[in-house]
Amino acid sequence: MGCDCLHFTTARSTTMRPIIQSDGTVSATNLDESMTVPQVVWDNPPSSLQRKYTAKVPAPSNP
Amino acid sequence: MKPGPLLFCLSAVTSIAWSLEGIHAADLTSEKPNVLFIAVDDLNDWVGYLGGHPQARTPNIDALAKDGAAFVNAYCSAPVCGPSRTALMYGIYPHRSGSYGHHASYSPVSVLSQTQLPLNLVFQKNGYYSAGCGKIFHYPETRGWDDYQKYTKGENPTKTVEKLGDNIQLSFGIQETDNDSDTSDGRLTDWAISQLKRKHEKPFFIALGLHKPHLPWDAPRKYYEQFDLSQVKLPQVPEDDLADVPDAGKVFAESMVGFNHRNDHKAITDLDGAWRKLVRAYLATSSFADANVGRVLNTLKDSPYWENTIVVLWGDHGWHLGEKKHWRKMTLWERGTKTPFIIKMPGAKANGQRIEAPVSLQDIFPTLVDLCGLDVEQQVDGNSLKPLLTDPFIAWDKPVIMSHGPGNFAIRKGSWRLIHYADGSEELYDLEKDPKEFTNLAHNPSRLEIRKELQNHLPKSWRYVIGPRFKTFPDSFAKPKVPMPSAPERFSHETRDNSSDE
Repeated sequence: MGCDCLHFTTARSTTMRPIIQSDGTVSATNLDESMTVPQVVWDNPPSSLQRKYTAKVPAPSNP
Repeated sequence: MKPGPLLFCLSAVTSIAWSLEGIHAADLTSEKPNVLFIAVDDLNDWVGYLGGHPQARTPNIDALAKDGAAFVNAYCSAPVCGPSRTALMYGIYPHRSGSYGHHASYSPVSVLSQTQLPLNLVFQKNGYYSAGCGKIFHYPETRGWDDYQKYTKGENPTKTVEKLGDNIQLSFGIQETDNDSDTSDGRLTDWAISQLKRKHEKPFFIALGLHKPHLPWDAPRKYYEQFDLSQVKLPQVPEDDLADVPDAGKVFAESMVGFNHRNDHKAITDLDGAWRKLVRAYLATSSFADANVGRVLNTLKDSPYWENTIVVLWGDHGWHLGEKKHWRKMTLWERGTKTPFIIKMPGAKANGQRIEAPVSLQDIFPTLVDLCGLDVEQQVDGNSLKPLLTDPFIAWDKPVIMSHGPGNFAIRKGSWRLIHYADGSEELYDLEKDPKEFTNLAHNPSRLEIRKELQNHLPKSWRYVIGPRFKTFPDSFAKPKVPMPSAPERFSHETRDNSSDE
């Protein structure tokens, strides 16, 4: 199945390695809400999403 | 973790049998532990070692609880399959992701960044062989599997279905077979067993997602016949049990928020004998799930991998069978959120111990990252339970956070449970004295201090995402006073019919 490119924005976590302390606590990882993912690529979305959000390719204009 | 002397002794005993499969102890060169990951759908605390129901028959899960660390106060992050599994498998609380229910708008593809990887993919990226079958995720996730078996081929056995009236939408069927492998879950178990019998060049992460005891309660007849219908015991439900519950709690009790199931309890109690039949069906189907757990565990025990494999067993949330006059899930009470959770880590001091400290299924992701030394680069919520596994007697008072929809939370800490609804109303229970949550202490002046302490653990903010199914319950949810940035534009229309996959 080809890759569907779903266009929407979503929150993105900052890229960081969480540190697990000796007491089991995971160092806080904050969401960076200001960042957006311009294009989400999902290899195999649910079929209903595939139907609804299949990337729309602009029709070629007639010369 | 390298194979120890015990492993080689075990291998000597089993080498003849396993040589047929082409597996020898010398092949076990991996330094990282393997992981057998078992998910059981809709299994509440009606298992023997948790004592949720006196007639529960789950000898295999109970045996694992004796072999491993039995967390006897374990809770889901959300009391419904989709958000619970999304939270567990992607390592992020529902209130931080916005994944609250069953709809495309709550799916990982909608609410998570692609940098938030699922657990199986994290294992795979760290050099593990990753294989899974059945229901691990609620929403399809094809990344991170070297092999995955979603569906099972073959016909299911014929079943005898007894209809309990038009107003009762809970169904069960007695399957006419003596062979568990004739059933869907049985075949999934066979598939997981075949994975364990393979020769593995790399450490493995093998996940088995059993669908039962999810509805419909279908199970082979022998599991039903374990329970004499006339002797089945019903949960204790005082007639006035909801009298001290705030209105928001009554909404949760009387309906399935987000679904169209209402007044289940009245329909069931109005029909003579229905309640007892349904309790028996749940007990029977849970026992069937337990048998499948036993088959895969016995295969692991007989394999060369037993001494180098971490076993994790979890249910995705609790399930009401009449308690609080509620049926199904989607509540923030004990019965809706408490679930089996066992970790058997080779050599752990916690093996054989019952750990009373409340813990969360949210802790599974960081715990496995910690135990397996995985390199991960993303948000990870929860706590690693490694300290408890290495010393089960250490003090552990980390609060457990549960949520159901925006602004509805429960906090478990010590022997206490605080439920805070979006409208500000609350319930407080002392589970040491009142394990069935019959008496709401929220307005007891002598409990003000503990109530305030638990309130301090309530999230200050959360994502406000309302899916179409939740729109009929607008008063049940709240926007945070400390706003998170507004949710990005999400799907605002029905894109998937989930009416049958609650």
